[in-house]
Parts: sequence; structure tokens; C-alpha cells
Amino acid sequence: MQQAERPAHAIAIPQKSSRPLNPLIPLAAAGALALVAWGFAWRQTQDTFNEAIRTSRSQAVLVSLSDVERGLLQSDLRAMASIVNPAGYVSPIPWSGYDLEERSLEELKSLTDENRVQKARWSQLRLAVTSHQRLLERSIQLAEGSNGEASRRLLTTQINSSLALILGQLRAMTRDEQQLLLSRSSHLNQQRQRLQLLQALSMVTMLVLVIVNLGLIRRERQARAATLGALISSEERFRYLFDNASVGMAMTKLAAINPGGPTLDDNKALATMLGYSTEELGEQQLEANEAVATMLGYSREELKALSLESLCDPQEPKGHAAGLASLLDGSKPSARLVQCYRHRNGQKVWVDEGLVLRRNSKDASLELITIMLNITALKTEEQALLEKVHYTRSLIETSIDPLVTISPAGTIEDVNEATVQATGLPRGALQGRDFADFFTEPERARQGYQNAFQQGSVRDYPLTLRHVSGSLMPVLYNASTYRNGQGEVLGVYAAARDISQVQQMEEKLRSLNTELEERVQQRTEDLTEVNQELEAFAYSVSHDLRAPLRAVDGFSHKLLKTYSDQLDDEGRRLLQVVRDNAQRMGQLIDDLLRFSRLGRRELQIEPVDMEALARGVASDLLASESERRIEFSCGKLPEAKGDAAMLREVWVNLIGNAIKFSRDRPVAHITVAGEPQGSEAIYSVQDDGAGFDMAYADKLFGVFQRLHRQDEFEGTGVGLALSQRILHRHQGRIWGEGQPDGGATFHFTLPLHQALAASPTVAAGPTVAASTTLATGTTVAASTTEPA
Amino acid sequence: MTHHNSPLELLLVEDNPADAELTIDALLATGLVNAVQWVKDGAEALELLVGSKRQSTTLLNLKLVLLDLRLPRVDGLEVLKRIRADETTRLMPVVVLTSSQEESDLVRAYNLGANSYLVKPVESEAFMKSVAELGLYWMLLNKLPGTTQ
Repeated sequence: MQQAERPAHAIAIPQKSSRPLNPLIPLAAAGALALVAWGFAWRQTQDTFNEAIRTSRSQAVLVSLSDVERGLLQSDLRAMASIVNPAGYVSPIPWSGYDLEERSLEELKSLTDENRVQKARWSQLRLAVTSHQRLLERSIQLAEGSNGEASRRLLTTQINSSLALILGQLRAMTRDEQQLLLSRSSHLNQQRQRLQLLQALSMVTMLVLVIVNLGLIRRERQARAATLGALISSEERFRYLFDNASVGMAMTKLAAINPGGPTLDDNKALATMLGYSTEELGEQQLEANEAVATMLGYSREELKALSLESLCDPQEPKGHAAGLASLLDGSKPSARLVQCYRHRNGQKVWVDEGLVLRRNSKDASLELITIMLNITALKTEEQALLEKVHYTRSLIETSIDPLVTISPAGTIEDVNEATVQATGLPRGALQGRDFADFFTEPERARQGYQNAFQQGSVRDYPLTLRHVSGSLMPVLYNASTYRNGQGEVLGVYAAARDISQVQQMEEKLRSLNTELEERVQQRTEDLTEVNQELEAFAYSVSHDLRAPLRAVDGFSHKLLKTYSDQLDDEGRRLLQVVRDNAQRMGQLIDDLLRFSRLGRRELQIEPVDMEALARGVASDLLASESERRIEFSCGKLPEAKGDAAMLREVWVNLIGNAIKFSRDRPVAHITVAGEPQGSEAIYSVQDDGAGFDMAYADKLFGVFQRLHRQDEFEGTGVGLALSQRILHRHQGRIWGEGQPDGGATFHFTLPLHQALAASPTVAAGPTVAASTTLATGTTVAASTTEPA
Repeated sequence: MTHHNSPLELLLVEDNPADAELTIDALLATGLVNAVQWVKDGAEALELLVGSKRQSTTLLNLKLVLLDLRLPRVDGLEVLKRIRADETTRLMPVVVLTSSQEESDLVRAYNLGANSYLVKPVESEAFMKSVAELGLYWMLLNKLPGTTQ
């Protein structure tokens, strides 16, 4: 049941796994069968033919029997007539003897020769006919001798019985033969039927064979179609691969007829054979894919008219011929080479090529398949790398220092030219030798590179290198391990720097240093002397110049007091002028001393709360200006690091100036501000006072430089110079902005609290009590010591 | 300028006559000082205080030595040092009255045991005032050992 339900087409589909039946087998089977059938048929036909011959012979025998009978009866009849009509009577049927009978009898004899029974019968018939003929001849003779009666008697008795005997014999023969014919006819009929059956069978067999063969042919066709389809799809696949492969592929027909290899003659021969000119054939030679076209800058169509050979860069070696030769002699199935082509734009294109030679099965032509991989980028990189390597090597070679690489075993692996020069040995003699052998102390040298291996590097290890001539060279040995890409230590890279000159220099330097030190000491002494002189000068200025001034003032005062009644107003005024100037000179001297002292005093660096300092100074200064209206404001100021006493001086000067120069304003405004800016803090003091002309801004900070007349604003012109000096010593800057009658703003910078810590001017010298009271020069410092 | 009519109360060591005169003027103007002796150099001062000229009565009423630093022959600091070294005068109040504002002078003076250090102002009124206040303090207000009742 299940088998019946199997789809019919399942049978028709040739099983891929089963081997296809050889079509000759059914054909041979069919032929054998046909041969056998033909044999049977031939034999049957032969039998039938023989049977038919036998049947026709029987028929002929029957005809012959009747002929015999008829001839016998005719001759009897003539004989009767001759007997009845004696001489003179002309019978219509003349007697002519027994010719007819004899011929018929002979014929019968030949016909029945094979049949034994009939043959026997014929012999009896012969005898009967012969005796009958004799009877007739006697009867005729009797009739002619006029003995008619006797003849008639004879005739009626003997002849009649003889004839009856013959006829009886004939009938018996006829009967036998008829029976034979009957049997033969039926046999023949049987034979014919058998033959027909055989023919029918044969036909059926043939039909079956034809059907089977048709089926086989169909199956064969399907198989062929399948193979062809596979071929087509394979061709498509390979065509697609060829067209779209990113790697370049080119096929060049070589048209090799000569098995020894293609020559120009071969191409000519092929061209002649195919009816093309060599040129035309050449045009058809190259088929390249798109990747090749892109690679070389030509279209695929254009490439067809070219050859790869013609696209090679003429400046670079060509490898095609050698590659092809190795393929043609059969030593290798494929060849690999690197070929340089020239792109249409003139640039070099480096191609890694694989050559494969293929013999076309159809026309025995050779086809060269070239797989082309563009390696220009790689080549360029390689070139760059080579140049880099060359560059690196040249650096190593041109190094003045002898450079060597040492294996872990301590043998020299590579050296540079400087090493060759330093040792006096050629490279070959150096490589492989123990590195330590070239030094005066081999053990120390060995220790040197062993240290490098153990610690990774060795620095400035002093050794002495021995030249082959025996001369010695003091060197500083510097070495470090070098590694491969995987980080494994390969050896030690060492440089031995010639320090003979350095040593000479060091010696020279040492003596120079000693000399210099002596000089410096001398200079220091000189300077100390000068300083002492300066101090003595300052001392004498403070002491000796002030004393006469004090005397001038003091005695003028005394004169005014003691002799005022003897002086008139003009006299008193003049004395007052003397006093004023003396006092002013005293002030100038004090300021000048203050200024000079500032340069010598050491800074006491500490964090300074600038806001508190500014507010404190302002408060002190404003206290003595109670009669004026001054609006003072102070913003939040960043903390600075510096000498608080000195920075206080700055505030005193700047705020003091602001108060002084704004005194003509009914309400003066003074603003102190500050902010951090980068690594600095910027502070400013702004007033709305008299201001100044920016044209003279460069004079603001000069000692004794003043921009106002003494009768406008008193002062010595030292304050700003002093402030600038203080700020410079703090790595700060100061500058002013102003306009006449438009107020002035003074800015100054100081390093921020954190930034100043790195300043080199920070000094922790002996502490000297810094007292701002000194500046005033009017305060008495009282001792607190109590007498015992 | 020496006033002999009363025992010595104040010794002025000053080489500049103008300064000396102004100082003595200022002191006398206060009315507190009656007996002032002025010596013009350090050697003279030392002779009087610790040297051969010293008399037992000389130091009896001496309440103050006003000492200039820059002095001919023996300078002020040396004088101070010798005063402090002498057993009799080691507690003598010594006030340095000088034109020098040098920090080094200040420090050395105090190290040698100066009781006070006064810078002479150039301005005469301020000078007079300073000297007068100084006299007032040391002559009248200051107490010395052995003078308490």
C-alpha cells in the first residue's frame, strides 16, 4: 500500500548516488534478443518453406496423376477409334503413340521419387500401363488385319480390365497423395501460425526493448542536462569570482603549439590557422578583471588591447619570463613573483603575482592565469621601513661613541664604526669575542654588563678601553638591556664614551674652579669691603649729615625763641624758611636711608592677610584725616606670601598717596581691590584725586621723581620707588594709571600664597627685628630690663 | 658745660657741641635737671665713670648717662661695655642718644645693656620734646636700686 503511494516522479529522477547504467548493456541485450528471435523465425520460415514445397509437390503429383489419367484415357480413346474405324477412315484424333502418357509418367516419377510408397505404386503403375499399351497395340494390329471381331473381343475383355487396373492404381495414388496433401497443408498451416506467433512475440520484445532504451536515453539526457547545468553554474560562479574578486586576475592566451614552449612562431602559426593576423590575435590575448583595471588605471576593454608585459615599469626588473619558464618546464605548478607595473598616471604599482599555467583541453593552447595582489602600500611601507632601518643604522654608525650589543653570554654581537676605530680591530675580529677582553680590567668590565643584565641598565661606569696598538682610552660605560617585540631581553646595548678629553677638561675645570674660587673669595672680600664702606657711608650720612641739619634747625629755633623780640617779621620768616628746608633735607635723608636699607634687609616670608593689612593701614592713616570726608572701601583681597612689614610699607605709600592726592575733593573716594589672576594676585588702590599725566608715567617710580610741585603736594618722591623696590623683591610688579584731575589707580601684583613657596629669594637669614616705628624716626624704644 | 653747684645728676657724652648745647637747653628747660656734666668723648667719660678721675661722690646722685655712639677716641658702644663691666656702674641707666638709625647699632646697644635708645630727630621741636620727656622720665619717674625708702 505504501509503495503504491510513493510519488510516481520519484522513480523518474535519477538517483545521484547510483551509477548510471551503461547504455550499451540494454542495447546488447536487445541485439541478442533480436538475434535469437531472428534465429527462431528463420528456422520456422525454413520449416514452413520446406512444408510449402512439400505441399506444392503433392499438388503437382495430383496434377501429374490426373495428367497421366487423362493421357491414358486419350490414348485409349484414339486407340479405340483406330480399332473401330479401320483403314481409310480418318480419325479426328489420330493416334500418335503414348507420348503424352510417357511424359506424364516421367513427370510423376520425378515427383514421387522421394515418397517411397508412391514410388512403389508408380512402378506398379508403369507395369500396368505398359501391359495395357501392349494390349492396345495388339488390338490395333488385329483390327488392321481385318480381324475386327477378335480385336473387339480382346478390347472388351482384356483391355477394359487392364484399364480398370490402371485407373484403380491411379486412384489409389491420388488418394494417397491427397491424404498427404491434406496432412501437409494442415502442417503448413500450423507452421504458419507458429511463425506468426513468433513474429508477434518478436514484435512485442522489440517494443519493450525500444521503450526500455527510450527510458535509458531519457535518463542519460537528464544526467547530461544536470551535468551541463552544473557546468553552467560553475562557469557562472567562476565568472562572478573573476569579475568581482578584489584580487586582480588576468588571463593571457599563450597559444602554445610547440610543446617546448610558446614562441613568436607559435603565435603566427595559430594566427594563420585561425585566419587571424598575429596582431588581431594579440588584441584578444589579455582578459583582466575589474581589480586589475582599477589597479593599473585602464578599463578592461583597454586592457584587452594591451599585455601585462607592456604595462610593466621599465625601470624595475621584469620577472615574468623567469616565472613562465619555471612553469613551462613543468618543475612547478605555479610561480610567485613581485612585479612593478606603471599605473596610467605614471605611479609605480607593486604587485605580488601568482602565475598558473593552464592547457586548454579544446585547442591545446596555453593560458597564463595571473593572480595580482596590489602590494604598493606594503612596498611603500617596506621602503619607508627600510629607510628607517637605514636611517637608524646610519645614526648608529655615525655615532662618535663606540656602540656594541652584547649577548647574554657576554660576546659582542654588533659594533659600529666608532668601536672599530676605538679598538683598531675590524668588525669580524670583534664579533663573537668576549666584550670584557678589550678593557684593562676585564673583570670590572664583565661586572659592568652583568650589572646591566641584572638591573636593566648601568650608568657612567668608568673603564679603560685598550686599542690594539696598546694606547688606552678612559671611557664611561653606559649600557641598558634591549628587548624584542615580546619583551624578552635580547642583550645589552652599550656605549663607551671617550672621556679622555672630558677628563682633561675636568682637570682644567678643576684648576679653573680653584682659580675662580680664589677670585670669588677675593671679590667677596672686595665686595664686603665695599659694602662696609657703603654702610659706613650710610652711617655717616645718617649720623653726620643729620647732625648739622639738626643744628641748623635747632639753632634757628633757638634764635627765634631767644631773640624773637629783636627780629622783625621778615627776619622770623627767613629763619622759618631755613628751618623748613633743614627739616625737608632731614626727611630726604631719612627716606634715602630707608630706601637703601630696603635692599639690604632680608625678607621675612610668611603668609600675609593682605586685606587685614590694607584695612589696618587705611584705618591708621584715616585716623589723622578726621577733618576730611573720605569714603574708603576695601574688597575681599587674596592672601599673599611675603614680608608683612614691607608689604605694609606698600600699602602705606599707596593709600597714603591716595589720601594725599585726593585732599582737594570735598568727598574723596578710595577703593582697594584685589583678585587672583593666574599664579598672581593683583591688587589696586584707586582714588578720584588729582591724578597725573600718563606722559610722565615712566617717572612715577624713580627715586626723588615727583609729578607735582612741592607747594601743591608735599613729598620726597621716594614712596613709589620704595614700593616698587619692595614688590620687585617679591617678584611682583607695579604700575599706575591716571589722568590729570581724573584720579589715579595703582596696581601691583604679588605671587599668590602657594606660588611664592618656590621662589628662590626666600631666605631664612638671621632675624632682625623689623620695626616700622624705625621709619618714622620719632619713636623711642624703651628697654624693659629692670635694674637688679 | 658743668654745673658744680649741686652734685652730678646727669652725664652727657656728646662730641657735637651744637647737639650738646641743644640737649642741655632742653634738659634745663624742664627744670628737672640741675647738675649736668658734658664730656666730649668716650675716653673722658670713662675716666670720669670708671677711671682715675672717679670720686666716690661723683656717682652718688648720678641718675642717667646720655651716650652718643659716634665719639672720638673711644666710641659710645665701648663706653657702654666698660660701664656694664664695672661693678660700681653696671646698673647705671644709660640711654643712647644718637643720629644713627642703623639696626646694627640698635641691636649692639641693647646687647651691651643700653636702657633705652633714642634717635635724635632733625626737627628741633621734636628733638626738644624728646629730650624733655626723656629727662622727665629718668630724672623723676624712674626708680633705681638703693634709692627706695
